[in-house]
Amino acid sequence: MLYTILVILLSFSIVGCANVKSKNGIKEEVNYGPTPNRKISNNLNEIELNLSVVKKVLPNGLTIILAENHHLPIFSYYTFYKVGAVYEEKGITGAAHFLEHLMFKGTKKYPPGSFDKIIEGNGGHNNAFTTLDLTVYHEVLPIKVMDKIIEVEADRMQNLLLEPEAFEKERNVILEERKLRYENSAKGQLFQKMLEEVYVNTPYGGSVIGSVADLKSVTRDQIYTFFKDFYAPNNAVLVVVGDFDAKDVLSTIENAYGDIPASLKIAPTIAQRSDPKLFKHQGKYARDLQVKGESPEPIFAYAFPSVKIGDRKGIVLDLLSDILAGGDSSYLIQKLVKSESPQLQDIGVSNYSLNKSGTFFISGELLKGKDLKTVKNSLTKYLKSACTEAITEREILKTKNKYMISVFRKLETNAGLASFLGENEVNFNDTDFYKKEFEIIESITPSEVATVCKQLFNNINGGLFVSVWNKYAK
Amino acid sequence: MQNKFLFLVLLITLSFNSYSSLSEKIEKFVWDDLEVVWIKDNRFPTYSLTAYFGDGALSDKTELMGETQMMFNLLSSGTKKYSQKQISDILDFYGVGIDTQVTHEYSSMEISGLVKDVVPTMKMVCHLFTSATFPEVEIKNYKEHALSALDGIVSNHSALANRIFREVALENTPIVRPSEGYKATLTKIKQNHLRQKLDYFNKQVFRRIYLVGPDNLDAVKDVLLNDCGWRGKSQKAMFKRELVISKKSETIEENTFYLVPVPNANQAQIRIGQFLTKDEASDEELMQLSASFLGGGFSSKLMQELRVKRGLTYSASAYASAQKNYGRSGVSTFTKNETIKEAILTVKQVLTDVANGNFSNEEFNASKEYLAGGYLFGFEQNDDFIKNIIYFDHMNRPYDELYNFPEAIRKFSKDELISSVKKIFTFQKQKIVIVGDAKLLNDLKILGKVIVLDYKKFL
Repeated sequence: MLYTILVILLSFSIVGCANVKSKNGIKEEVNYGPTPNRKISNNLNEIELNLSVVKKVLPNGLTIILAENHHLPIFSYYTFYKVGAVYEEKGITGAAHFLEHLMFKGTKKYPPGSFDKIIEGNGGHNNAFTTLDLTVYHEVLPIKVMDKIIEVEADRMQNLLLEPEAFEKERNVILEERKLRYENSAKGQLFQKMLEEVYVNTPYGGSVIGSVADLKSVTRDQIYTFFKDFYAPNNAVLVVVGDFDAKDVLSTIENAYGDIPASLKIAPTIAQRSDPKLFKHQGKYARDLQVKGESPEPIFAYAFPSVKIGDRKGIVLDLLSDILAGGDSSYLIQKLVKSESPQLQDIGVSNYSLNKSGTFFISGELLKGKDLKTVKNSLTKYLKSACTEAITEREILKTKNKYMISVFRKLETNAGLASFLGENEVNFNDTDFYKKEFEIIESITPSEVATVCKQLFNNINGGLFVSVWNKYAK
Repeated sequence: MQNKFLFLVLLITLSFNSYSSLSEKIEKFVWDDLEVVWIKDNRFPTYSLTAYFGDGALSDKTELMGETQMMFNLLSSGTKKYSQKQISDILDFYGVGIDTQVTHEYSSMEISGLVKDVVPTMKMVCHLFTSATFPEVEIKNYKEHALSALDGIVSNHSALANRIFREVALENTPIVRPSEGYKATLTKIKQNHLRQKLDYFNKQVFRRIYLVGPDNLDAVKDVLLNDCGWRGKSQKAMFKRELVISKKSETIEENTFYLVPVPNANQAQIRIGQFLTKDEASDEELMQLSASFLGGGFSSKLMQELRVKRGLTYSASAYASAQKNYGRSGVSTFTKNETIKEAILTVKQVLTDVANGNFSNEEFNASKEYLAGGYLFGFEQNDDFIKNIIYFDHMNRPYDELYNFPEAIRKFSKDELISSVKKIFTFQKQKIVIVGDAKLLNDLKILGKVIVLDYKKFL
């Protein structure tokens, strides 16, 4: 989550000049020309951000977020639908992702192929992705086609064709994608198995891609029902960033989307699926699971229960994950990858936060000839010792420096800013939520990280250890 | 060093009015004989510094292939003053990212981070260039990882197909050996080889610096000149590798299929392509248009025929790239075992149809606009912009060609596209590599001559 928080300090419409000077050891900004209101500080929680964002919710429930950026004559257009695999019933696993593919298959007004021709025929690029919580469509284009994109996006929100022939072709494509990402990918198998076990008996327990049986049996009508239930303005957030006048674009969007009716099913479905009790971890930990897969050396994931997105503890766990395996100098990389007797090809640590739950996991790949049991014992030992040896003030600062750079890199693009604004809105109903996260980040101390670390690894054998290897029996 | 978590308020100060405003962002300097190209950008308190070197893996002896890449990768593995752990701790503390690239003709190292830390960071980087010792224990660690990774490539059929196809397509050329080397060559590389290689790059190889960042990045000048000692001509570091390949070693009139069996494959990776001579790779914009028309984007011919119309694959793409005096072109896709023949024949049909001009003006114009309209995105991120500039400098091409790319693309006629596709994508001239199940042999035999290759010989 930490790395999804963006520190955005931009006023996109300003033409001026800004320099950074150092005075008495404290950096301050000197501006020439028009400037926004802002406050300079070395501390994150004292910064007054100046995000030029226009936000409006239409009567039909569509949330619109606009930000101007006049750097280049281009724009980025993100549509977040608040539906992912979490809303799939038994028998239609993979429906959200299947529908994502079919959203490019045309409407009555814009027949199959039109959407890609409009986008690519104007020099644009488009894509989409589905997660357990969300389905997101995004495009980048030259600014001259803004009005056309608004029109076609509004059209496909309500008028998808889902022609039977295209539907069947796409079923084959998805089955090939499933092979590529899961059946033929040892890492895909590993993470799919880990998530299935961690979230067993919860709405997160299915996979985004869906089971082969469901993908083969799901009907066009079932997918169309899913579309009608969840693709509606009151379940969508639209974020546009680029070289435009926000007032004009807002008016065009209102005209295009304003008459699309809200879905009445969304509120009760979300209410029914949002009960925290449904998402309580029921996975069986403290055990090892072996999966046969095409990895010549064992790969593993060591999973522990974590918390939902936005929790203070989750942000602390983000810092901990970076201290453990973020960069060559990190604790576990030095112990297991860069040591004189290395055991692992590589190692990574993630705090994977979802809307209603989370997982903290360590994953790695063994070097040729190394023994998995020995590696697990070493890892267990180092996870325990990390809580007392690895967490220092310097390590916290190191993590924050790396985070800050990643933030600035992301801010270079319209898509980066659109993604940031959308994530804040979709997850927290607040484009300014990042301010609260800044306060939390700034207030985290080494002792707090150490405490959370000990809570997590105190009973180290309480983790779920999943491994994939081609030597395992089927 | 300011070790507070410092956030700076930023302004977007640049606006785009014309292509000329892009060229105005680029400034060139000579700092005591060291050539510097700088994209000035005051929006962010970050920088990237790329050191370009005019030689690459072609400087490696055949039996020591992978030496240059290993040298760059192990630069931060230790000096007399600092251990690997201390070096990585210092660089990580500044949030520094280091990205090295070793091609056959040139090498580059990009260092990125926060401007406030550029001086101490570059002092460390210069220290590495002047004092790296390549400790034996770190060389051993590197080799263990590299060899294990090569053994593990069998589980990634796409990566394996790319590696083997490259070698098959470039057979009998000076660039046939991969710059990262083989297990056998990596094993032979010793500490003294790496020290000699670094000495060669320090004393003989031409270098140029590319900067991206705000005005106060000029603080790095003294560090580069004094700590790195990079003073260009004064150090006689002027060597630039130049490889010219004007003739092919073989003429292909009929396809040969190279089947690489791998265990438990339920999909077949397909790579189709060829090596291009200087003449064949002479018009890069037209090559790009040809590749894009065939396999660039969702509305390209291959995606439409393979995925949309037939549901044979999840992805299909084509490429055509040029180096100074040669190039490569190819098609990449995959499909399930049962449809290998249909997929290959569909690719053949697409290439043949386009070479025969069987496509509409609408498709042709849309493809041109896809490239011409989309070119602006190459300037949105400075990293992309500077990579383009480095490439153009390496190719000795004027930047005007970069700025005028949309006009150049829009001017091409249908006949020019057809001619280009005939020149570089005629199906019968292509080499075809299939990585997949051994049983595919029967299907491939129906299509033509098949040579079975053992993947282990390519590791």
